[in-house]
Amino acid sequence: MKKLILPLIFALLFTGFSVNTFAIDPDPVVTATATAELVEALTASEEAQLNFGRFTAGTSGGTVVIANTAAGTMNITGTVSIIGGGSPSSAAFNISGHANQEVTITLPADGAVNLTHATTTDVMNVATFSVSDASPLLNASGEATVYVGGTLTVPNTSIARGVYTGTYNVTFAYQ
Amino acid sequence: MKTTILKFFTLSAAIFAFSTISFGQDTSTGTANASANIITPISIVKVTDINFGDLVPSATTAVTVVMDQTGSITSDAQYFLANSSTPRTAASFTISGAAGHAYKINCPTTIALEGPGDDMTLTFDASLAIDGSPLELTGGTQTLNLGGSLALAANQTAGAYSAEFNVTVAYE
Repeated sequence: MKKLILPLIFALLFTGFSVNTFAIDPDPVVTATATAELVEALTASEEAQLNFGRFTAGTSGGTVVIANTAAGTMNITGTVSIIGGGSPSSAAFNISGHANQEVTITLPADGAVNLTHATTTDVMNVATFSVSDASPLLNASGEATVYVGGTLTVPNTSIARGVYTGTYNVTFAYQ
Repeated sequence: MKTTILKFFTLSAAIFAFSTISFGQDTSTGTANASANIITPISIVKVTDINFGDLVPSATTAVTVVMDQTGSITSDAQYFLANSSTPRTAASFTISGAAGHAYKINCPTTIALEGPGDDMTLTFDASLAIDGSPLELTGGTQTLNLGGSLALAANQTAGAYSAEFNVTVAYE
């Protein structure tokens, strides 16, 4: 009977040993890291609207040009003449995002934007948009302001008098 | 009668025990072949970590950004900052061992990157099965590359996000 117990003890010992072996030599494992750095989403707001002021077309029309500066100076060509009381202005956009990052600004294509008369179907085309800085650098606070001007083509005297409005898209993206 | 049965039972038990011991003490000689085939232990070494670099979340919608197994951007580039402050890399591991041997890789298929905002889920795109399916160690060395898709919430809080994960290899 004693002899019977002995092999049993041996078996137990062997079991214990084999468990130990597994603990000493585990499957090879390596630890890796996954990382990502999130920057602030880029946002922009229109602080001032582009306004071509108040004018008459004259006999053969011409253009009204608003400078892409803070002042948004109004200039005219052709037979267009400025009438007082208007409030010509460049558009101002405040951009907010990641500090010290360059931003790329995309303006509408030449001739892609029309201003439509308030009550008729008459249109005037905005030929050229321009921006004060097409690739501004956001400051340490992650902000920048740019000014957008443009050239409005005034066809001729036959178009309706009144207010013309339209919308356009400006795209801001991180460089 | 009672006594007889008892004796019978006792006897049979004893014989049974004895017979077991007899088997254990069998001394008859025979020939057997003992052989062992020592194979190269399997190992795994990390070459590169996975890094998505600088990302730009959408201010309005949740987006998923994708980097392939070579570290190239394969989703809309507008959510990746072109001037990333750190280089973008896929994860890469070298697995070495006995040529042609069956083995398996165990690695999570998705992990959560933690940072200042909500966790971001990274779903791996692996060049080899990482779910423990059987593989063959062709040529004794194989490379595991991990790209992946990372889910960004709308306006995901800016900052550094990271997570550690383990990759285990074992012979089958």
